[in-house]
Amino acid sequence: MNRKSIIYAILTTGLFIAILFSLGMGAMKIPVTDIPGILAGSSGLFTGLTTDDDLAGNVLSYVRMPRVLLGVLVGAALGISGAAVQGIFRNPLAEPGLIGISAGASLFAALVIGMESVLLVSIGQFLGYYLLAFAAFAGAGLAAILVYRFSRTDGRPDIATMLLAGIAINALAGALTGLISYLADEQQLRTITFWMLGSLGGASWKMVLGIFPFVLVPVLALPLFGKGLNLFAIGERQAEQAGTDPGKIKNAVIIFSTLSVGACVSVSGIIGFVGLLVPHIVRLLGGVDHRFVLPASALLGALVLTVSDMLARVLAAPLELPIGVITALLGAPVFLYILYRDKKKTAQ
Amino acid sequence: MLRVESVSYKVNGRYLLKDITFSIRKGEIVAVIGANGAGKSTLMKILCREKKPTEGRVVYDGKNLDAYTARELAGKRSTFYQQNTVSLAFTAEEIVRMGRYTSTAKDKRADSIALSETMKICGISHLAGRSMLTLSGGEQQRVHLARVLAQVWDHKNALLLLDEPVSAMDMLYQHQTLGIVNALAGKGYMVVCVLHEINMAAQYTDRIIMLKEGRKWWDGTPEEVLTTRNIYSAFGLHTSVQTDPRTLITKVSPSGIKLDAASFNSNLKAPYLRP
Repeated sequence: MNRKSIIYAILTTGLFIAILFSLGMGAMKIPVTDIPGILAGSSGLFTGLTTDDDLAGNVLSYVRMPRVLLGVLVGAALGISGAAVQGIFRNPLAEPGLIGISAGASLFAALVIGMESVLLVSIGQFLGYYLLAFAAFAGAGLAAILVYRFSRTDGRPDIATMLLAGIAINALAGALTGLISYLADEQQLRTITFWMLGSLGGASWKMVLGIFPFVLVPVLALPLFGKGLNLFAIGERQAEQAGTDPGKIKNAVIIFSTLSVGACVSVSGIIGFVGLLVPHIVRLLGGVDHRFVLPASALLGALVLTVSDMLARVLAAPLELPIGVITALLGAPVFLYILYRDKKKTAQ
Repeated sequence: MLRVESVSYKVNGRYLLKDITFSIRKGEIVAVIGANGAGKSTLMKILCREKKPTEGRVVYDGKNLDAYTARELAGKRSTFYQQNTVSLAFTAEEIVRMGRYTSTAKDKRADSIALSETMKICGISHLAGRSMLTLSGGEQQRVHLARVLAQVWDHKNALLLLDEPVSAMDMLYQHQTLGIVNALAGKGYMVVCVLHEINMAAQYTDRIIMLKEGRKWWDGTPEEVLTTRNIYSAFGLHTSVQTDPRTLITKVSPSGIKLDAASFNSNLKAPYLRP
């Protein structure tokens, strides 16, 4: 077995173990050894026919399972999109937030939270429940489309312009979000802040099923562009001479990562650092070939988010920490260490 | 066969190339020379289809260059750029392998042969596992050359476009590189190569196209093109030119430039001059 298959095997096993432990942890502890039995025995897992006495089964099927699965989906989407966006920007510091996805989503989410009372009256309670998610998704998409339109010349996006347009849209959206926060009352401010730090707290089966296609399609499709992204690393012009169509790759990566990250942000808020850091660690482990980095980033992203969510629930129990705080707390030191190590390596 | 038919290229109303016409036969190796800004790189960009000519057209193998798909073209044309920066820590071997990504060879052996042979003649076999980011400029250039050669290694009538391929290489590999492309031309490849080292152009190519201010100034064998008068017109430099009676290789010796340092900064007077 070569190094890459070993890494795949370790990541997959790690992910399964993390999922099992994560299912067991929380306000109600369920022993890990019991979980497979409960899941197998609980026929009502998907039909909703569990009895009231089956407390562990109920907690597992209505609270833990959707939450853990949501974490897996969001982590996979953030990881693989981060790797792909770093590929087209030819910059290891890029992440999907760079093209305005997170900032656009935050702005629209803050808008909804800030005008909650007005909106809820006018469109009714039921829609209001999903309004935040819809608005965030729309905001993410809108920001990405704006950045994309600005950076297009002769039908293909120019990467340097895209970076600058992204910075401008980020600043604009950030300023407007700041304005809304300034005008918001105490409770709204708290909601906005909590949303911007990310959380998997409100997970439900509806959310899991809702974002499932938006995550599945990019996770399956992006690895097909592995060779093209490899050629991108030697330069866009060089890639074209070697027989690829750089415009097509850029379009695909931007569309797929906007879809998946936009969908994730809409249900979990902004979870920083996963998209930036996960591809870095994957490259350190098994080399820089995108045909490996893309799928492995999805796996490691899912693993990191599952573990972070578990920590978020356990560390300050019964309180819940925002998951964005955990990923940044874990991520920033690792990132600094990588920078330090790289600096030492190039100095030699 | 490659035909360039009255190609002009205009940017902001200014012609970078004006009415260029020439054709290249199978097995011909052609050097493009000229002063900085004469239009050499622009011509290469038009030949490799990175830029479209504003007037005229380029015909390759009986088909307009625009009519090819990127993949079709990659199988019969390979381009070496003078600037190559790799953004990730790929190994030298992975980079060369990228040349075969769009290979349509039915037999997988064609890929492995292209890989090992090009790495060997470019002298990078021993660097195969090294990260590109740790290689010197000249070594990186040799890796990219191997990649560019590997891309069309199994197509013996392919077109090789090389923009200053030897600029960062040491003396041995400058000659090795031109020796390789010269030999490939002998097999049937068409080679177009931008060179600054005029004596290497004379030594390794069949034909030289001299550009001046975006126009084709002269086109012919090295002996015809490299005359004291032509070189002075194109470069503004005095040279003496001799053709070796035994090897028939033309050799250009610049007379050198002497400047008077006393005239530098002559407008600077004390106290602005440092003591």
